[in-house]
Amino acid sequence: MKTIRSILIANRGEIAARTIRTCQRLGIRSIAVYSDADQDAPYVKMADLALHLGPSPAAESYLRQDLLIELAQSAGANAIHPGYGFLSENAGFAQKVIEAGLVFIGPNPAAIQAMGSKSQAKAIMAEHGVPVIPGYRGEDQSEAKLKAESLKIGFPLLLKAAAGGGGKGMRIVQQASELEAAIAGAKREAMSSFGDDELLIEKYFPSARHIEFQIFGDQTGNAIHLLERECSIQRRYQKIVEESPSPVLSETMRETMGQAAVTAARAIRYDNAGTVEFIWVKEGEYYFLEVNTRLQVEHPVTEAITGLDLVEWQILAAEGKALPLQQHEVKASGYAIECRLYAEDPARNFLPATGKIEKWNIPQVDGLRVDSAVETGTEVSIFYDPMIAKVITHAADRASAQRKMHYALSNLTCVGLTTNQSFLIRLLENPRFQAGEYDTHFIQNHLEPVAMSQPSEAVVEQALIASALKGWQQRETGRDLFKNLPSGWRNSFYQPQKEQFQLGEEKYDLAYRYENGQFSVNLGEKSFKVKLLQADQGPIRAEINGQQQHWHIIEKGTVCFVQVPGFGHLKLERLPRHPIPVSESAAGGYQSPMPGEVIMVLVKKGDLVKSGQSLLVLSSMKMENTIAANTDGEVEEVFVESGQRIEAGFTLLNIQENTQN
Amino acid sequence: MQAIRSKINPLSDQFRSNQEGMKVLLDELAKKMQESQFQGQEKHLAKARQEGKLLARERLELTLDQDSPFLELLPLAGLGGKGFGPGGTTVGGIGLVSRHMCMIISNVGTNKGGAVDYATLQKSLRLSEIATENGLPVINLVESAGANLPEQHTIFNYGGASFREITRRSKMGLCNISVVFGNSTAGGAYVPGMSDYSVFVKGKAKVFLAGPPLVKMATNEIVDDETLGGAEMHSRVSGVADYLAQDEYDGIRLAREIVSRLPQPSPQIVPPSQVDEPLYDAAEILGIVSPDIKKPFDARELIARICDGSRFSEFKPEFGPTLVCGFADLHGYPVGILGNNGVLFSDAANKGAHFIQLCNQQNTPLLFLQNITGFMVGKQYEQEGIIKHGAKLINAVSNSEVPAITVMIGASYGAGNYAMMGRAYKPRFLFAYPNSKIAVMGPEQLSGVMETIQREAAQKAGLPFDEEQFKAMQMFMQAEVDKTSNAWYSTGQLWDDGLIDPRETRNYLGFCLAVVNNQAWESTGKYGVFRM
Repeated sequence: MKTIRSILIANRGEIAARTIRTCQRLGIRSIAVYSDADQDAPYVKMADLALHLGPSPAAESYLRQDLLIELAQSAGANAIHPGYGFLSENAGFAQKVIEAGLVFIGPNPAAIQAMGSKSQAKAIMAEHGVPVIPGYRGEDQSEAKLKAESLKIGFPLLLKAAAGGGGKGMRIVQQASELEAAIAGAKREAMSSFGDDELLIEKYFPSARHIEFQIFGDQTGNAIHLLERECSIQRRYQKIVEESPSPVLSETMRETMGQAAVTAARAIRYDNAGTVEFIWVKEGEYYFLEVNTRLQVEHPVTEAITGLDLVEWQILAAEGKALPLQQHEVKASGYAIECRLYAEDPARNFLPATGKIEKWNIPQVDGLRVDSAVETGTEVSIFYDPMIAKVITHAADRASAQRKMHYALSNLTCVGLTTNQSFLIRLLENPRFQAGEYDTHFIQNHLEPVAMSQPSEAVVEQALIASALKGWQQRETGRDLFKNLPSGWRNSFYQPQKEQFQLGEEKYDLAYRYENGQFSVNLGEKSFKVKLLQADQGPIRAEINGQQQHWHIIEKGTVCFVQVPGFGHLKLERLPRHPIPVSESAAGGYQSPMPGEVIMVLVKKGDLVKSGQSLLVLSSMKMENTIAANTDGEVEEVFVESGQRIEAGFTLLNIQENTQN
Repeated sequence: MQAIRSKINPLSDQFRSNQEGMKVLLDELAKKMQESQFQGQEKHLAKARQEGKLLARERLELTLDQDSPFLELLPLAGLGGKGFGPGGTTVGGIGLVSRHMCMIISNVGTNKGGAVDYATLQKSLRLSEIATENGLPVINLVESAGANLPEQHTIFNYGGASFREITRRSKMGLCNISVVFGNSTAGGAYVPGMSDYSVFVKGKAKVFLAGPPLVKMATNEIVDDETLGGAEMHSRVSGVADYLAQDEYDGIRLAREIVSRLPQPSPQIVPPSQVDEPLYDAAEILGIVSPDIKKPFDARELIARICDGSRFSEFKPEFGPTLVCGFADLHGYPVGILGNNGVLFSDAANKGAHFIQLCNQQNTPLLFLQNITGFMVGKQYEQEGIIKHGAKLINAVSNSEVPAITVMIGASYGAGNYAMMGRAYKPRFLFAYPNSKIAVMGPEQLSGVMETIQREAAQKAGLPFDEEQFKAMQMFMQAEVDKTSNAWYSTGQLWDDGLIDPRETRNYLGFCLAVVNNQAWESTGKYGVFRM
């Protein structure tokens, strides 16, 4: 047994901060590492020691295995915690850490290795009697064989390219009669996309839930599970809401699936924290999906209901100690839910967003836990996952936990960049969600992210008035002449003062008159009596038609981010009184839809392109985005090169439209 | 400084009747101010809108900083006259542009093509004078057809001063900016031509000495507007334009940008940002001042409702009590106030002359609250030399070098007008209450004097005095004097810079004090010979 005294955390953001907190509690010296972009990140400031890794891209910083090990050794760490993502499931790295004489806080490399390959993992599980998704993968790709296997699996089923990804060459087949054509089509597509027409077949579940079990093993051979997490609320195949216990899992199923999870753990001699993911189809029907050999993002819901500190358990398991509890001692108390606050735009297909968090504030709510990567002033950059924080609430029952979550999100202040806060608030108000009736396609099938992100008329009105008041207050304090005259004083009849704002595509005209310390505000047909109560510091507080409210407003140039309690925040553009006339944006110009990095430029000046042809590929926060030509034409000029980092709206290239045909 | 303790009883009959009388006058004022907003017939406004043009007042508002106070000057110039209506075809006043105090003069191009009538010219000249005296940059928002030809004989000669003043201001270091939105022909072409900066709106500005018809007449040359005087030509070829604006907003933006680069004058006084409001309600002024100017009221009651904290440090309160003198602060600006509490006697005149000298010594601006029926007359007063005492006051008023502001709050008769800084004595600003009256003497006195003179003349000539004819003439005279001495007439004649709602007195004065204090001055304290 080896006592861990100092841990280098080979990660960043909220998980680094979260790990440091446990270190601090246990008296372990914590060492943070950081890239250029993270030099002022909160976790860096929290650690006992912080070491610079290198430039911002992960490949040049957080993924540099040798450097991490070297830094750990020279700084006197005797263990490395990999967090999640980055090197957390890299068996080679775990091996190197161990060879360097350090403790790797995670499972043994062999276990990581075994679970790394999905097909191998599936085979191991099948061997141990854990149900796996029926399917076929084999060298015999003859039509007859594929047909036979398909019929054996049953319908509906999924055909996909073995070499593939991204949905190319994928076919859902509902019945046997469609099979022949589907196989041919999928093969053709697989060949043209990947140069390889090998297909694999899987049973397809039109509606299923994602339920996972937290497992834990130690080096003495113990393995237990710490109950389940329901993670079906997903967008872009990524979880955004997790809860525990699952609203659908019966005690029998919990028992069965938990047992299967432990079986899986034992099968690979699992000796640290891990997660066994299952597809839950209906009572009695579930299948093994994969094992994640790391601590999951959503582990706090398990911590909330079990009262345990999983990082502490990881450390003691890594030290070679036995797990503190046995299976029968694991008890759930109450109900926990986690929402992930992301810098992303639900109205634009959840595209990642970047920007500076100008104001960050967490409301005081009993039973609320916020694991965040940020503080006021933190920049969410293009380099890493755009998750801002995990908000976790714990209460006696599911409805209470949801209620608390709704309240917490409604009053959480995160201003300065586009987030999914409003979307999450609306999601929590959805009756189906509240009833626990959902599957992994819930967002896609039952929610309208665009509409959900739209503020109500009342919210817009509030935001407009609050922004106008903020601007007024700033002008008023800046006025050094006529400063004892009422704002906007006139000795004759005049038009009220005007302001124009833009929200999305919509323009709003606001007119106001200041008289006797009060404003009469007109917005379209509506009029409001407004009293500004406080604006010099902190949030703006005002009374609108007798109702007192407050808003955090952050202004960046002409943009006002307004935090409206109960909604989240919206972004208003203050339109100039004297707009500078701009020549119409050059036709044929292609702009970057989001900030990111140019991965590949596929065309060059003078190339003739067809409408729909890929021009270049951008990457932003793990997402790739291909820019395609929207007309036939000739590439006039390319303004970027691969590797270049660009802001949203940056002109990438110009195409001279071919008008001959 | 002690606060004035008001002795007004708002429940008194006098108070109520004053209030009622003043309300009638204020309604009338509001009506006339509304008329002055006229910017042309609906069809002309519609056409301007169609052409993407802003109206004169919209241009003015857009030129101002958002939330800036704005003092419109001479809004009723020409009222009751035969010209283009109250205010003429120009809107002018003072406000903040890019945080600089500026005079903005905007032509109402949609009313008579912005042609200049007699009142408009006089108004422009006075606005120009105010700008020069107070060191204000001038922004001209130009769209004018030039002189109204049928009355060119009343305009042409004096009109020249408009252009002279532009360049004289420039010589003083005061900037003139012209933004041309439309026609600016003949003489009008010299407005941008003489300016330090000129901004022409593309496709709209037309600036030439003679338009295509006159050119054809003169030289038989056939040429279009745009080639002859368009914004692009003047920007690229002639150099008459310094900036080519894409549209009206852009033109205004450019003017604001130009102003933002101007140096700020060094102010005489920077007032504190927090000041005490008067202890008494300004609305009560309506119950204090009287529509019947024969009814006296205590000037201190008005002072108590316009000065900071109602505080007033009175000078020589026991001496010459018909002229109240003293120091106060208004919007944080120190000011020496002279207010009438009855007819001027010799001691009151001496006190006033003394007080004006003190204010000059201390560089304190003067505020005259004029409510004066004149100097006292009679054997006793002539013998004690009321002429020479009055002369001392007029000497001090004439030669005072600190900025002065006059408000006519009641009567303004005879030499009292002069001794209390009437128009001819060039106060920086002069405003009048709608109840005020101005004349050489009151109509009754005037007709009485006339009667005496005519009776004497008839007697001398040995002719019978025609009572009937005289009565008719007297009636006519009284009516005529009444008409030409009331506030509506006087403001129409530009004898003041505007009629004001008495309740807004404090804001008007605070505004004007901010303007006069925006540039530094130093009084030399020199006067003419005082007849002792």
